[in-house]
Amino acid sequence: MTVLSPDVTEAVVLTLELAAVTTTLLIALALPISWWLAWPRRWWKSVIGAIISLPLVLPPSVLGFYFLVAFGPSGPGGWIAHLWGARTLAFTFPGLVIGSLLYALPFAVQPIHNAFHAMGRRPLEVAATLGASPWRTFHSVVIPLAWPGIATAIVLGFAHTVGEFGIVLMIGGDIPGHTRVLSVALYDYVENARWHEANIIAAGMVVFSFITIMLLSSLQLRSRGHDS
Amino acid sequence: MNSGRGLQAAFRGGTGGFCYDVEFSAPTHGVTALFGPSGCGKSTILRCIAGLERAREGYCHFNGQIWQDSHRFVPTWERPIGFVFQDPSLFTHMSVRQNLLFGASGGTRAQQQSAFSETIAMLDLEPLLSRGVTHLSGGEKQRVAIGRALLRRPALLLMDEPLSALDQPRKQEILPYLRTLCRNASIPVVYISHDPDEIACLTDRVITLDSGHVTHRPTWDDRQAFTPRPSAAGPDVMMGT
Repeated sequence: MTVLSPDVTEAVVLTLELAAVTTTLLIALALPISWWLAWPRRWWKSVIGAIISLPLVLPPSVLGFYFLVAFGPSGPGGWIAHLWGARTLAFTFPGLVIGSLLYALPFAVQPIHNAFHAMGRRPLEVAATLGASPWRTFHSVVIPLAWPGIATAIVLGFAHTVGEFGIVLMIGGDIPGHTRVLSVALYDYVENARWHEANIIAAGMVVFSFITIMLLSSLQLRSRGHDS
Repeated sequence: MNSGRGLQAAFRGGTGGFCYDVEFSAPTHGVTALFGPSGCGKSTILRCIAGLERAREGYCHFNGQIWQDSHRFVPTWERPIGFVFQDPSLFTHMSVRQNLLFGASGGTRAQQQSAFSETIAMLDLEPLLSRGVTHLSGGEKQRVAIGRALLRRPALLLMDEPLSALDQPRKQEILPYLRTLCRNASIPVVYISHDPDEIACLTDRVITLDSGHVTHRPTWDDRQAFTPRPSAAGPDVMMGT
Protein backbone atom coordinates (compact mmCIF):
# COMPACT_ATOMS: atom_id res chain seq x y z
CA MET A 1 0.00 0.00 0.00
CA THR A 2 1.58 3.22 -1.10
CA VAL A 3 0.95 6.51 0.63
CA LEU A 4 -1.31 9.05 -1.03
CA SER A 5 0.31 10.49 -4.10
CA PRO A 6 0.99 14.24 -3.90
CA ASP A 7 -1.70 15.11 -6.44
CA VAL A 8 -4.34 13.21 -4.46
CA THR A 9 -3.27 15.01 -1.27
CA GLU A 10 -3.46 18.30 -3.12
CA ALA A 11 -7.02 17.54 -4.25
CA VAL A 12 -8.04 16.52 -0.72
CA VAL A 13 -6.68 19.76 0.77
CA LEU A 14 -8.30 21.88 -1.93
CA THR A 15 -11.64 20.12 -1.48
CA LEU A 16 -11.63 20.60 2.28
CA GLU A 17 -10.61 24.23 1.84
CA LEU A 18 -13.43 24.82 -0.63
CA ALA A 19 -15.98 23.07 1.61
CA ALA A 20 -14.86 24.98 4.71
CA VAL A 21 -14.97 28.41 3.06
CA THR A 22 -18.27 27.65 1.33
CA THR A 23 -19.92 26.32 4.49
CA THR A 24 -18.88 29.35 6.54
CA LEU A 25 -20.29 31.78 3.97
CA LEU A 26 -23.28 29.51 3.48
CA ILE A 27 -24.40 29.70 7.11
CA ALA A 28 -23.78 33.45 7.23
CA LEU A 29 -26.08 33.80 4.21
CA ALA A 30 -28.66 31.13 5.07
CA LEU A 31 -29.44 32.42 8.58
CA PRO A 32 -30.76 35.85 7.55
CA ILE A 33 -32.48 34.46 4.44
CA SER A 34 -34.30 31.75 6.43
CA TRP A 35 -35.24 34.33 9.06
CA TRP A 36 -36.62 36.66 6.45
CA LEU A 37 -38.51 33.84 4.70
CA ALA A 38 -40.00 32.55 7.96
CA TRP A 39 -41.72 35.76 9.18
CA PRO A 40 -43.99 37.27 8.29
CA ARG A 41 -45.46 34.85 5.75
CA ARG A 42 -46.23 36.44 2.41
CA TRP A 43 -47.12 34.71 -0.85
CA TRP A 44 -44.25 36.29 -2.77
CA LYS A 45 -41.79 34.96 -0.24
CA SER A 46 -42.66 31.44 -1.35
CA VAL A 47 -41.71 32.51 -4.88
CA ILE A 48 -38.30 33.65 -3.60
CA GLY A 49 -38.09 30.38 -1.66
CA ALA A 50 -38.77 28.45 -4.85
CA ILE A 51 -36.02 30.33 -6.71
CA ILE A 52 -33.56 29.54 -3.91
CA SER A 53 -34.65 25.91 -4.08
CA LEU A 54 -34.10 25.59 -7.85
CA PRO A 55 -30.71 23.85 -7.50
CA LEU A 56 -32.51 20.96 -5.78
CA VAL A 57 -34.03 19.92 -9.11
CA LEU A 58 -31.91 21.56 -11.81
CA PRO A 59 -29.15 19.41 -13.31
CA PRO A 60 -25.90 20.76 -11.86
CA SER A 61 -24.41 21.05 -15.35
CA VAL A 62 -27.22 23.45 -16.32
CA LEU A 63 -26.44 25.59 -13.29
CA GLY A 64 -22.76 25.32 -14.10
CA PHE A 65 -23.40 26.51 -17.62
CA TYR A 66 -25.22 29.65 -16.45
CA PHE A 67 -22.53 30.31 -13.86
CA LEU A 68 -19.90 29.98 -16.56
CA VAL A 69 -21.68 32.59 -18.66
CA ALA A 70 -22.19 34.89 -15.67
CA PHE A 71 -18.60 34.51 -14.49
CA GLY A 72 -17.08 35.25 -17.90
CA PRO A 73 -15.34 38.53 -18.81
CA SER A 74 -18.60 40.09 -20.08
CA GLY A 75 -20.78 38.86 -17.18
CA PRO A 76 -21.18 40.29 -13.67
CA GLY A 77 -18.54 37.84 -12.47
CA GLY A 78 -16.01 39.42 -14.81
CA TRP A 79 -16.82 42.82 -13.34
CA ILE A 80 -16.25 41.49 -9.80
CA ALA A 81 -12.99 39.86 -10.91
CA HIS A 82 -11.81 43.25 -12.20
CA LEU A 83 -11.74 44.39 -8.55
CA TRP A 84 -8.57 42.37 -8.05
CA GLY A 85 -7.34 42.72 -11.61
CA ALA A 86 -8.46 39.37 -12.99
CA ARG A 87 -10.46 38.98 -16.18
CA THR A 88 -12.90 36.30 -15.10
CA LEU A 89 -14.22 34.36 -12.13
CA ALA A 90 -14.44 31.17 -14.16
CA PHE A 91 -11.67 28.62 -13.53
CA THR A 92 -10.76 30.32 -10.23
CA PHE A 93 -11.18 29.37 -6.58
CA PRO A 94 -13.49 32.36 -5.77
CA GLY A 95 -15.65 31.29 -8.71
CA LEU A 96 -15.88 27.78 -7.29
CA VAL A 97 -16.84 29.18 -3.90
CA ILE A 98 -19.67 31.31 -5.35
CA GLY A 99 -20.94 28.43 -7.49
CA SER A 100 -20.90 25.92 -4.61
CA LEU A 101 -22.47 28.50 -2.33
CA LEU A 102 -25.51 29.06 -4.53
CA TYR A 103 -25.77 25.35 -5.27
CA ALA A 104 -25.75 24.39 -1.58
CA LEU A 105 -27.99 27.26 -0.45
CA PRO A 106 -31.31 25.33 -0.51
CA PHE A 107 -29.75 22.49 1.49
CA ALA A 108 -28.91 25.00 4.22
CA VAL A 109 -31.97 27.25 4.02
CA GLN A 110 -34.48 24.43 4.27
CA PRO A 111 -33.45 22.90 7.61
CA ILE A 112 -32.88 26.31 9.21
CA HIS A 113 -36.20 27.59 7.91
CA ASN A 114 -37.95 24.49 9.28
CA ALA A 115 -36.25 24.95 12.63
CA PHE A 116 -37.42 28.57 12.82
CA HIS A 117 -40.96 27.47 12.01
CA ALA A 118 -40.92 24.70 14.58
CA MET A 119 -39.71 27.18 17.18
CA GLY A 120 -42.50 29.63 16.37
CA ARG A 121 -42.69 33.28 17.35
CA ARG A 122 -43.51 32.70 21.01
CA PRO A 123 -39.92 32.43 22.34
CA LEU A 124 -39.15 35.73 20.59
CA GLU A 125 -42.15 37.38 22.21
CA VAL A 126 -41.23 36.02 25.63
CA ALA A 127 -37.67 37.29 25.26
CA ALA A 128 -38.94 40.72 24.24
CA THR A 129 -41.27 40.95 27.25
CA LEU A 130 -38.26 40.08 29.41
CA GLY A 131 -36.38 43.06 28.04
CA ALA A 132 -34.02 41.24 25.70
CA SER A 133 -32.82 43.28 22.72
CA PRO A 134 -33.30 41.72 19.28
CA TRP A 135 -29.59 40.88 19.14
CA ARG A 136 -29.61 39.19 22.56
CA THR A 137 -32.76 37.29 21.58
CA PHE A 138 -31.03 36.12 18.43
CA HIS A 139 -27.91 34.72 20.05
CA SER A 140 -29.26 33.47 23.37
CA VAL A 141 -32.67 32.18 22.28
CA VAL A 142 -32.93 31.73 18.52
CA ILE A 143 -29.54 30.15 17.83
CA PRO A 144 -29.74 27.60 20.67
CA LEU A 145 -33.35 26.67 19.91
CA ALA A 146 -32.75 26.33 16.17
CA TRP A 147 -29.37 24.64 16.67
CA PRO A 148 -30.36 21.16 15.39
CA GLY A 149 -31.50 22.79 12.14
CA ILE A 150 -28.37 24.93 11.88
CA ALA A 151 -26.12 21.93 12.53
CA THR A 152 -27.97 19.94 9.87
CA ALA A 153 -27.41 22.84 7.47
CA ILE A 154 -23.68 22.85 8.25
CA VAL A 155 -23.33 19.10 7.69
CA LEU A 156 -25.42 19.10 4.50
CA GLY A 157 -23.72 22.19 3.09
CA PHE A 158 -20.26 20.77 3.73
CA ALA A 159 -21.13 17.34 2.32
CA HIS A 160 -22.77 18.70 -0.81
CA THR A 161 -19.82 20.94 -1.52
CA VAL A 162 -17.41 18.04 -1.14
CA GLY A 163 -19.51 15.83 -3.42
CA GLU A 164 -20.40 18.37 -6.12
CA PHE A 165 -19.22 17.43 -9.61
CA GLY A 166 -21.23 19.00 -12.43
CA ILE A 167 -20.86 22.61 -11.35
CA VAL A 168 -17.19 22.46 -10.43
CA LEU A 169 -16.32 20.77 -13.69
CA MET A 170 -18.19 23.43 -15.68
CA ILE A 171 -16.92 26.53 -13.89
CA GLY A 172 -13.70 25.26 -12.39
CA GLY A 173 -12.20 23.22 -15.16
CA ASP A 174 -9.56 20.86 -13.88
CA ILE A 175 -6.59 22.96 -12.80
CA PRO A 176 -4.45 21.08 -10.23
CA GLY A 177 -4.06 23.04 -7.01
CA HIS A 178 -6.63 25.64 -8.03
CA THR A 179 -9.86 24.04 -9.07
CA ARG A 180 -9.16 20.34 -9.20
CA VAL A 181 -11.28 19.02 -6.34
CA LEU A 182 -11.72 15.35 -5.43
CA SER A 183 -14.78 14.56 -7.51
CA VAL A 184 -13.13 15.98 -10.64
CA ALA A 185 -9.84 14.28 -9.80
CA LEU A 186 -11.65 10.94 -9.51
CA TYR A 187 -13.10 11.37 -12.99
CA ASP A 188 -9.67 12.30 -14.27
CA TYR A 189 -7.97 9.24 -12.76
CA VAL A 190 -10.56 6.92 -14.27
CA GLU A 191 -10.07 8.57 -17.68
CA ASN A 192 -6.35 7.93 -17.37
CA ALA A 193 -6.78 4.41 -15.98
CA ARG A 194 -5.09 5.25 -12.66
CA TRP A 195 -7.26 2.79 -10.77
CA HIS A 196 -5.29 2.86 -7.54
CA GLU A 197 -5.86 6.59 -6.95
CA ALA A 198 -9.45 6.33 -8.15
CA ASN A 199 -10.09 3.55 -5.65
CA ILE A 200 -8.61 5.53 -2.77
CA ILE A 201 -10.73 8.59 -3.54
CA ALA A 202 -13.91 6.61 -4.08
CA ALA A 203 -13.49 4.62 -0.87
CA GLY A 204 -12.66 7.82 1.03
CA MET A 205 -15.88 9.40 -0.26
CA VAL A 206 -17.90 6.37 0.86
CA VAL A 207 -16.47 6.65 4.37
CA PHE A 208 -17.05 10.40 4.40
CA SER A 209 -20.68 9.98 3.27
CA PHE A 210 -21.28 7.34 5.90
CA ILE A 211 -19.98 9.65 8.63
CA THR A 212 -22.19 12.42 7.28
CA ILE A 213 -25.31 10.26 7.43
CA MET A 214 -24.46 9.13 10.97
CA LEU A 215 -24.01 12.74 12.02
CA LEU A 216 -27.31 13.78 10.48
CA SER A 217 -29.31 11.00 12.10
CA SER A 218 -27.81 11.72 15.51
CA LEU A 219 -28.73 15.39 15.04
CA GLN A 220 -32.30 14.41 14.20
CA LEU A 221 -32.47 12.22 17.30
CA ARG A 222 -31.25 15.09 19.41
CA SER A 223 -33.77 17.54 18.02
CA ARG A 224 -36.57 15.05 18.67
CA GLY A 225 -35.34 14.68 22.23
CA HIS A 226 -35.61 18.45 22.53
CA ASP A 227 -39.30 18.47 21.64
CA SER A 228 -40.47 15.84 24.07
CA MET B 1 -57.91 59.98 34.50
CA ASN B 2 -55.46 62.37 32.98
CA SER B 3 -53.26 62.46 36.04
CA GLY B 4 -50.53 60.87 33.95
CA ARG B 5 -50.15 58.04 36.45
CA GLY B 6 -51.25 54.50 35.86
CA LEU B 7 -52.18 53.13 32.49
CA GLN B 8 -54.25 54.88 29.86
CA ALA B 9 -54.89 53.00 26.69
CA ALA B 10 -56.99 53.23 23.58
CA PHE B 11 -56.69 50.91 20.63
CA ARG B 12 -58.54 50.62 17.37
CA GLY B 13 -57.78 48.10 14.70
CA GLY B 14 -58.58 44.69 13.39
CA THR B 15 -57.18 41.38 12.28
CA GLY B 16 -59.05 39.36 9.69
CA GLY B 17 -62.78 39.76 10.27
CA PHE B 18 -62.33 40.86 13.88
CA CYS B 19 -62.41 44.53 14.84
CA TYR B 20 -61.73 46.17 18.16
CA ASP B 21 -62.15 49.67 19.47
CA VAL B 22 -61.47 50.09 23.16
CA GLU B 23 -60.49 52.81 25.55
CA PHE B 24 -59.79 52.26 29.22
CA SER B 25 -57.51 53.12 32.09
CA ALA B 26 -56.07 51.39 35.11
CA PRO B 27 -54.85 52.98 38.35
CA THR B 28 -51.31 52.88 39.67
CA HIS B 29 -51.94 49.84 41.79
CA GLY B 30 -54.38 47.04 42.24
CA VAL B 31 -55.49 44.40 39.84
CA THR B 32 -57.62 45.39 36.88
CA ALA B 33 -59.41 42.59 35.11
CA LEU B 34 -60.22 42.53 31.43
CA PHE B 35 -63.11 40.16 31.41
CA GLY B 36 -65.18 38.70 28.62
CA PRO B 37 -66.01 35.56 26.67
CA SER B 38 -63.40 33.74 24.61
CA GLY B 39 -62.71 35.52 21.34
CA CYS B 40 -63.83 38.94 22.57
CA GLY B 41 -60.43 40.47 21.94
CA LYS B 42 -59.00 40.52 25.46
CA SER B 43 -55.71 38.93 24.52
CA THR B 44 -55.29 41.24 21.54
CA ILE B 45 -55.76 44.27 23.79
CA LEU B 46 -53.21 42.96 26.26
CA ARG B 47 -50.76 42.29 23.44
CA CYS B 48 -51.28 45.85 22.25
CA ILE B 49 -50.37 47.16 25.72
CA ALA B 50 -47.22 45.03 25.63
CA GLY B 51 -46.37 46.17 22.12
CA LEU B 52 -46.48 42.62 20.79
CA GLU B 53 -49.27 43.72 18.50
CA ARG B 54 -49.51 47.10 16.87
CA ALA B 55 -53.01 48.49 16.61
CA ARG B 56 -53.71 50.53 13.48
CA GLU B 57 -54.56 53.45 15.72
CA GLY B 58 -53.38 53.34 19.26
CA TYR B 59 -52.57 55.36 22.30
CA CYS B 60 -50.83 53.91 25.30
CA HIS B 61 -49.52 55.95 28.15
CA PHE B 62 -48.03 54.57 31.34
CA ASN B 63 -46.81 56.57 34.36
CA GLY B 64 -45.83 59.58 32.32
CA GLN B 65 -44.25 57.63 29.48
CA ILE B 66 -45.82 57.37 26.07
CA TRP B 67 -45.50 53.85 24.71
CA GLN B 68 -47.59 54.39 21.64
CA ASP B 69 -49.22 57.33 19.91
CA SER B 70 -49.59 58.45 16.33
CA HIS B 71 -45.84 58.79 15.78
CA ARG B 72 -44.22 56.76 18.48
CA PHE B 73 -44.09 53.05 19.10
CA VAL B 74 -41.79 51.85 21.86
CA PRO B 75 -40.73 48.26 21.06
CA THR B 76 -41.75 45.59 23.57
CA TRP B 77 -38.26 45.02 24.92
CA GLU B 78 -37.96 48.66 25.96
CA ARG B 79 -41.25 48.68 27.90
CA PRO B 80 -40.87 47.91 31.64
CA ILE B 81 -43.48 45.17 31.62
CA GLY B 82 -43.82 41.63 32.84
CA PHE B 83 -45.96 39.34 30.74
CA VAL B 84 -47.35 35.95 31.71
CA PHE B 85 -48.66 34.07 28.70
CA GLN B 86 -51.45 31.50 28.64
CA ASP B 87 -48.99 28.68 28.12
CA PRO B 88 -45.80 28.93 30.17
CA SER B 89 -43.52 29.24 27.11
CA LEU B 90 -40.37 28.49 29.06
CA PHE B 91 -37.09 28.41 27.16
CA THR B 92 -36.55 24.69 26.66
CA HIS B 93 -32.78 25.01 26.27
CA MET B 94 -32.35 26.51 29.73
CA SER B 95 -32.69 25.22 33.29
CA VAL B 96 -35.35 26.62 35.63
CA ARG B 97 -32.76 28.92 37.19
CA GLN B 98 -31.59 30.23 33.82
CA ASN B 99 -35.20 30.83 32.80
CA LEU B 100 -35.84 32.78 35.99
CA LEU B 101 -32.75 34.91 35.58
CA PHE B 102 -33.17 35.62 31.86
CA GLY B 103 -34.91 38.93 32.38
CA ALA B 104 -33.47 39.77 35.82
CA SER B 105 -32.25 43.31 35.72
CA GLY B 106 -32.15 46.62 37.51
CA GLY B 107 -30.92 47.45 40.98
CA THR B 108 -27.76 46.41 42.70
CA ARG B 109 -26.53 42.86 42.98
CA ALA B 110 -27.83 42.66 46.54
CA GLN B 111 -31.28 43.87 45.48
CA GLN B 112 -31.33 41.32 42.71
CA GLN B 113 -30.31 38.62 45.15
CA SER B 114 -33.08 39.49 47.56
CA ALA B 115 -35.67 39.81 44.80
CA PHE B 116 -34.57 36.38 43.63
CA SER B 117 -34.88 34.72 47.01
CA GLU B 118 -38.23 36.41 47.71
CA THR B 119 -39.68 35.27 44.40
CA ILE B 120 -38.34 31.75 44.91
CA ALA B 121 -39.90 31.65 48.36
CA MET B 122 -43.24 33.07 47.28
CA LEU B 123 -43.64 30.63 44.39
CA ASP B 124 -41.97 27.64 46.10
CA LEU B 125 -39.45 27.26 43.34
CA GLU B 126 -36.41 26.21 45.39
CA PRO B 127 -36.71 22.46 44.66
CA LEU B 128 -37.01 23.09 40.91
CA LEU B 129 -34.09 25.46 40.40
CA SER B 130 -31.51 23.11 38.95
CA ARG B 131 -33.95 21.07 36.88
CA GLY B 132 -34.60 21.30 33.17
CA VAL B 133 -37.98 22.62 32.14
CA THR B 134 -39.25 19.84 29.85
CA HIS B 135 -40.30 17.44 32.59
CA LEU B 136 -41.98 19.90 34.94
CA SER B 137 -45.73 19.62 35.45
CA GLY B 138 -48.01 22.22 33.89
CA GLY B 139 -48.49 23.97 37.23
CA GLU B 140 -44.77 24.04 37.98
CA LYS B 141 -44.05 25.45 34.54
CA GLN B 142 -46.55 28.25 35.00
CA ARG B 143 -45.06 29.09 38.42
CA VAL B 144 -41.64 29.38 36.81
CA ALA B 145 -43.12 31.60 34.08
CA ILE B 146 -44.70 33.86 36.69
CA GLY B 147 -41.46 34.05 38.64
CA ARG B 148 -39.55 34.85 35.47
CA ALA B 149 -41.88 37.75 34.67
CA LEU B 150 -41.61 39.09 38.25
CA LEU B 151 -37.82 38.90 38.37
CA ARG B 152 -37.69 41.34 35.52
CA ARG B 153 -38.93 43.80 38.20
CA PRO B 154 -41.59 45.21 35.89
CA ALA B 155 -43.51 48.43 36.43
CA LEU B 156 -46.65 46.86 35.00
CA LEU B 157 -47.58 43.21 35.11
CA LEU B 158 -49.73 41.78 32.32
CA MET B 159 -51.29 38.35 32.70
CA ASP B 160 -53.05 36.63 29.83
CA GLU B 161 -55.25 33.88 31.29
CA PRO B 162 -52.36 32.32 33.20
CA LEU B 163 -54.61 29.55 34.55
CA SER B 164 -56.60 28.61 31.48
CA ALA B 165 -54.18 26.01 30.15
CA LEU B 166 -54.29 24.10 33.45
CA ASP B 167 -56.70 21.44 34.68
CA GLN B 168 -58.75 22.01 37.83
CA PRO B 169 -56.31 20.55 40.41
CA ARG B 170 -53.38 22.50 38.88
CA LYS B 171 -55.50 25.65 38.94
CA GLN B 172 -56.14 25.16 42.63
CA GLU B 173 -52.43 24.64 43.10
CA ILE B 174 -51.51 27.97 41.48
CA LEU B 175 -54.40 30.12 42.64
CA PRO B 176 -53.05 30.70 46.18
CA TYR B 177 -49.72 31.87 44.72
CA LEU B 178 -51.49 34.27 42.41
CA ARG B 179 -53.57 35.51 45.30
CA THR B 180 -50.49 36.30 47.37
CA LEU B 181 -48.96 37.96 44.35
CA CYS B 182 -52.01 40.13 43.63
CA ARG B 183 -52.47 41.04 47.28
CA ASN B 184 -48.91 42.21 47.68
CA ALA B 185 -48.30 43.73 44.33
CA SER B 186 -47.03 47.26 44.57
CA ILE B 187 -47.37 47.66 40.82
CA PRO B 188 -50.52 47.63 38.70
CA VAL B 189 -51.59 44.32 37.26
CA VAL B 190 -53.82 43.82 34.24
CA TYR B 191 -55.34 40.36 34.43
CA ILE B 192 -57.25 38.67 31.66
CA SER B 193 -59.76 35.93 32.17
CA HIS B 194 -63.08 34.51 31.04
CA ASP B 195 -63.64 32.79 34.38
CA PRO B 196 -65.84 34.83 36.79
CA ASP B 197 -64.58 32.95 39.87
CA GLU B 198 -60.98 33.74 39.05
CA ILE B 199 -61.88 37.39 38.51
CA ALA B 200 -63.78 37.58 41.81
CA CYS B 201 -60.95 35.96 43.68
CA LEU B 202 -58.05 37.93 42.25
CA THR B 203 -59.01 41.31 40.93
CA ASP B 204 -60.15 44.66 42.27
CA ARG B 205 -61.94 46.18 39.33
CA VAL B 206 -63.40 44.72 36.21
CA ILE B 207 -63.59 46.01 32.69
CA THR B 208 -65.92 43.88 30.60
CA LEU B 209 -65.30 43.39 26.92
CA ASP B 210 -67.48 41.93 24.22
CA SER B 211 -66.60 41.52 20.57
CA GLY B 212 -63.86 44.07 20.69
CA HIS B 213 -65.72 46.74 22.65
CA VAL B 214 -65.86 47.79 26.28
CA THR B 215 -69.35 46.95 27.53
CA HIS B 216 -68.88 47.79 31.19
CA ARG B 217 -66.29 49.82 33.00
CA PRO B 218 -66.04 50.52 36.71
CA THR B 219 -68.52 53.20 37.74
CA TRP B 220 -67.53 56.04 39.98
CA ASP B 221 -68.94 54.06 42.92
CA ASP B 222 -66.76 51.12 42.04
CA ARG B 223 -63.80 53.43 42.03
CA GLN B 224 -64.71 54.82 45.41
CA ALA B 225 -65.07 51.32 46.69
CA PHE B 226 -61.61 50.51 45.49
CA THR B 227 -59.16 51.53 48.12
CA PRO B 228 -55.57 50.71 47.52
CA ARG B 229 -54.35 48.21 50.03
CA PRO B 230 -51.30 49.21 51.99
CA SER B 231 -48.59 46.95 50.67
CA ALA B 232 -47.86 44.40 53.30
CA ALA B 233 -44.44 44.33 54.89
CA GLY B 234 -42.41 41.20 55.37
CA PRO B 235 -40.96 38.55 53.14
CA ASP B 236 -44.01 38.42 50.88
CA VAL B 237 -43.45 41.87 49.47
CA MET B 238 -41.60 41.43 46.32
CA MET B 239 -42.22 43.80 43.54
CA GLY B 240 -40.64 46.99 44.73
CA THR B 241 -40.24 49.36 41.84
